[in-house]
Amino acid sequence: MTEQLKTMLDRAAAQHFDPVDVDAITAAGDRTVRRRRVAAGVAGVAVLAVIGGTVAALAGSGDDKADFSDDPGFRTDVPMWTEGSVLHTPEATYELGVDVFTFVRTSEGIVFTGQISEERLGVYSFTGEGDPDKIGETEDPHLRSDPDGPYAGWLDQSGDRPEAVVIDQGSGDRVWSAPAKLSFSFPIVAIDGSSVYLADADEHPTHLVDLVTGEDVVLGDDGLGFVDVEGDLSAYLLEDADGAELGLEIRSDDRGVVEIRFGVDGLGVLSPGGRWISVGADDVSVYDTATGASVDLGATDAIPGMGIAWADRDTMLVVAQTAEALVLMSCEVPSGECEELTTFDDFSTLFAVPDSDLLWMLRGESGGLTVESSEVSASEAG
Amino acid sequence: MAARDRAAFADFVAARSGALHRAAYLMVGDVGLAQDLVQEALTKTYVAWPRLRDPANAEAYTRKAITTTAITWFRRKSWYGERPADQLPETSEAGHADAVAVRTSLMDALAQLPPRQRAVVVLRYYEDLTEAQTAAVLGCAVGTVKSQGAAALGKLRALMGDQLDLTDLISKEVPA
Repeated sequence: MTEQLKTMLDRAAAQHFDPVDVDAITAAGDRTVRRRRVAAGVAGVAVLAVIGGTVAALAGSGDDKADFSDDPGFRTDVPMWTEGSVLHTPEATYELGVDVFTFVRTSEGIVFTGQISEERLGVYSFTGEGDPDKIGETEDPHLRSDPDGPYAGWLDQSGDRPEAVVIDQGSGDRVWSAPAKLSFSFPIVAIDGSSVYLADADEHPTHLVDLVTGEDVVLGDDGLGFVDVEGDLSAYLLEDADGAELGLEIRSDDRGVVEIRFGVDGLGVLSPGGRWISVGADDVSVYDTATGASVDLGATDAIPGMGIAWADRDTMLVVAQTAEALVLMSCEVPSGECEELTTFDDFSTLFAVPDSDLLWMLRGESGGLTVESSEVSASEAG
Repeated sequence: MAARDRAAFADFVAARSGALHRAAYLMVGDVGLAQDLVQEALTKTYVAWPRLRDPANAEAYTRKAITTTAITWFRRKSWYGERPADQLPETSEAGHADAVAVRTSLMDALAQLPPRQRAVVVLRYYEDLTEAQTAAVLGCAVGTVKSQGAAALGKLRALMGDQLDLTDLISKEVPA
């Protein structure tokens, strides 16, 4: 009976399914669009160059300009970046042996991902001496850490089941782990001090786990779009009743809510200590989290780009766009004084800056690594 | 966000989520996973909404997202632990099995198919897509759909025995 299979499939599929939460889906989708739009705005030139380029064939590409050093004074509260397998700091360069895809800093060193197969990344720990230690595997380039503390986390897929894991890079121990779902987003959305912020279906944190006490706090679902956290400050998207983006809001126990209305993409990076927040806008923009006022950075205000990470409490790493390249700068806040660190114009070499998801998203669009969140059309990116 | 018409997207979800869930369930064999799969696929659909233009395109896009994501999940070794892939159905009970038992046997048999074959079964024989439409969803050649479909039917027949009569279907799908 030709129809028997169809009938049996119909009967087998007659299950009860929970109603779809359209609001949650549109909120998650809006955040995805915003991230992509910011990424494209920061480095549209790079998108074009990389899409036509050779990212998929990067294995073995290195940096013959490297001046290698065994400097034992490895500091992470300084401007740093990677090109290929070389880590650059103001004092030294380090050959890591693996092309770095993404990396984050802790107080002890860096944790980075490097491609080990078409769809798989190795997760490595490097503390300034010897070779990096491979500490996990993943297909998700998101890494999370607090540069002020020893903890770093990621979605680990080296075992039979995916896990969200956190290591103490000082001891090298895995200090926390939990089963994770392979959903479109990453389970650890932020680490602040000993607090790990966890999400379920999207990037909105639903739980907070204290690594010291083991306390697991349910944060609930208040519908706010999570942006960043630092100490008692949390940054969320600011939207009107219809969901139109107005900017960001900074919440704290002491000061309540401070609104930052800049009317563009909802991406922000809080500085260590939380005095400043760099936001996604057409040009480099920094706001005072206490007042919500824009910080006058002088000529830096007109640089097309964004401060995408903080080296220390007042030093921001800015990726700026020129006609032909990306320029990495170190800029002081509030003076606005900037120093050019390097220029990324060779798109056959991977480059990464710390604590940022933006650059790998751009490279993901090229097909260099299969990452589900990289699916984007040219029309969406514009 | 003006280009993303939330009301139209909500209408699409309301109209099609039931069918999408059922197809997703047949692909992954687990209600919770199916719900995750549909949510992920609908999020991708919402992101792509401005260029999909009409609901037919949206459904095709969502179906493709479900299928490719399901295949990706199954290729990750870890997901095999979520389903009874090692349990053969009790074919000796076929003659007196009730509907529930047959349904269980079918889901067990589907779980033992490679992910792409399982997707072909769902798309061709549940969703009633043509071979060309199925090939478009899977991103493969029509010939691949034919060969994968034939292999899938052969394995289903071997696994389910008398519980499932696929004679006509196999004679039509598999060239002599």
